[in-house]
Amino acid sequence: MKITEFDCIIVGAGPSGLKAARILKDCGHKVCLLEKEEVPGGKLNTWHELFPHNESAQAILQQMLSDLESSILTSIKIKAITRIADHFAVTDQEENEYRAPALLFATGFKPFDARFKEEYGYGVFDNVITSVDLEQMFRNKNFSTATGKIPDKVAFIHCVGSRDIKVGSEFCSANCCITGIKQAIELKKIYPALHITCLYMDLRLGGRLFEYCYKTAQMDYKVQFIRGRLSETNENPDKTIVLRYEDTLAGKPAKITVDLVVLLVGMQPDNSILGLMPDIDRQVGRDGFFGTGRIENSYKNAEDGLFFAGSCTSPKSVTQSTDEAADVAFRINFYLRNKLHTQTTGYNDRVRIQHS
Amino acid sequence: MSKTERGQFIWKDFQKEIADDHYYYVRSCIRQNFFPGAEDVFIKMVTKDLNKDLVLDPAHTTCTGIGYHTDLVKMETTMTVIARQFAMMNQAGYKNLLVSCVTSFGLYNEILEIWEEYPEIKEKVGEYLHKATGRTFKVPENLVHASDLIYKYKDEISARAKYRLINRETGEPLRVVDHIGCHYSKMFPEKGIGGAERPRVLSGLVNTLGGKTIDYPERRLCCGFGFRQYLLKSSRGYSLSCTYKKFKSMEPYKPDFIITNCPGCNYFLDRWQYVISDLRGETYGHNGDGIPTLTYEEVAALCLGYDPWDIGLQMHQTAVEPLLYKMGIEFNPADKYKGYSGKNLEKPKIPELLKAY
Repeated sequence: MKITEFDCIIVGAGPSGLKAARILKDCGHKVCLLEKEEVPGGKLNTWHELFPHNESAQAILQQMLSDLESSILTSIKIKAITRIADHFAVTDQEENEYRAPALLFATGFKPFDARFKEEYGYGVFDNVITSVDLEQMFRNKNFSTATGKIPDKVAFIHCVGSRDIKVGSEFCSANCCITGIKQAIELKKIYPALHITCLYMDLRLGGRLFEYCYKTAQMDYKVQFIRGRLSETNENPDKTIVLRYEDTLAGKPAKITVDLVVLLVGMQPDNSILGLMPDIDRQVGRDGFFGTGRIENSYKNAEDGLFFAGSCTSPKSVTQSTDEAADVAFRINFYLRNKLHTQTTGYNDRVRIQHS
Repeated sequence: MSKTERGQFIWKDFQKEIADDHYYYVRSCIRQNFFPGAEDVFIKMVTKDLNKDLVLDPAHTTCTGIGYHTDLVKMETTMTVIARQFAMMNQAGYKNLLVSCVTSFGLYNEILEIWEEYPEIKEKVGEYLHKATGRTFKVPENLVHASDLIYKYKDEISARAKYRLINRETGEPLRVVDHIGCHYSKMFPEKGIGGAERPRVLSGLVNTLGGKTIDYPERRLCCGFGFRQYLLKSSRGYSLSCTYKKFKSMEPYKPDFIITNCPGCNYFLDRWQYVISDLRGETYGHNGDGIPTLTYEEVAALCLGYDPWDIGLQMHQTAVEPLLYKMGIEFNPADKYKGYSGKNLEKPKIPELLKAY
């Protein structure tokens, strides 16, 4: 067994992990960044463009990686996380052990598995896809129906796996509304003749410029928004999809036929880390995300060197995730300064911690 | 992940426990009147072909389902009647309730759920039952619908099958529309095999017997019975239009037959074909034929080699002969209108448009 010591171990090299790593490194700490996938970047690797400015996800990732200027340990499958005295010990599949007094979980989220909304037909009908699948189509430049045809009509279904007690997901994922609007605009830019209908429950567009995007989608791109609740999808012989829904403003049942359905899947807590560390489940809130979300706790975020950042603490955009990661990184910095009994004068002075 | 793998994911969460043997059987109010041969052959298959113990108790009664759903019977009365059914089952020494009717199946599950949520109501019902009959009761350990049982033993049935759901001339699997009674799993998805959206209870049987089920747009729509739609005379137009919508939706897929697990659904999908042909001049089978509409036990019995007329297929208004010919079943067309004694009961009046044999 090979043991390597660090000041802070970060689990997850998505936007939050990368941002926190960069700040901690700049503060003079020795950081270990562990990533389970073959490449760093987390969900930035599955997204094409990011709302609200349609920035390239790949370009942002490359910028973050070049800013970091240090290596990331990828393809790391964590087997166990334990506390040894006042240190955390993380063991990987090769029995390598990483030790540090601070541990940051930046494990992100997982998209809602749309198969649980079985009435929507994902996994049953070929022309029902998710917003994640659509991003892959954008990235691969192969937007089409299952039969290879460019669709005439597309429907976006909001709140799939969000605010839905039937699938055990009562919270709003906060980012799906704007994702749907962004994707609808992206599609209309490529295929102006496309007819796009969005069936929404509410439109929750609290972020900066989100409302502007919504207006642009309606006025400039003629995307149609219907306050409607989908009850079921069915497939026609020609593989088009019939949507049966209730128009909740008119209070009437209605039906439309489209070529492709995009389910805007919500953000779910990724709890794959839970079984790896004793007592970690005490840190999980009733919605399944880490932490309490309480203002009074924000100065410490977690107990005894354990920290959380990014979309593992609640549904967040990339901007919100990296903002939180920066905040948490500074808290880790203060924690380590006290822990290591080392004098630094602060981030701006770039005074390095001397490791013994 | 392939489409098949994604599809399999859906089914695996909706399996249910079905007792192996020793069933207390509760009958439907309407099934044996509409299609008496279906129930008869079900009991024969379970007791003779599958060699299971099933008791048919003449002292059990209606579950009050139709009365309950039409607001004619109070909830407390329904619950007390059902408590009595359980008491009769306890008295007979059985723990597994086998329910013939989908309406009853939904109602039994609904009441068990209420009692679990509100034990004080169960206690009250126990008092009513004791006051009225002097009986006490325990709830069943296992409660299944009759189609669950056929699903459970589908492989045994398939292994003994004399005929399969395959077109004898083309060698192709027969194209089958499955229709599940709404109260089978739409009320409690976890109580039905395959859940509410894509139930497996009939499609699993069809696939095992060699057929292919069709997924058509109105697959989950009500058959048209819908209690109030039909029972209130003024609403019967809704019933008919609902069934019509289903037939228009399945028509392009050219199904060889329809399989159902609810007596009401079978009746409506069968009889309304005649009414639609008379009202609108439309038939949905080949060359003026209708689409034969069979129950799951009739299909299983046909495959096992039972004579079509012995199992009462002549009771269907939409003629079943096109299916019998496709499957290559040996039968005597001349025996169709003969009673058990061999006496000729005479052909009924033949509809003008829907083809009869």
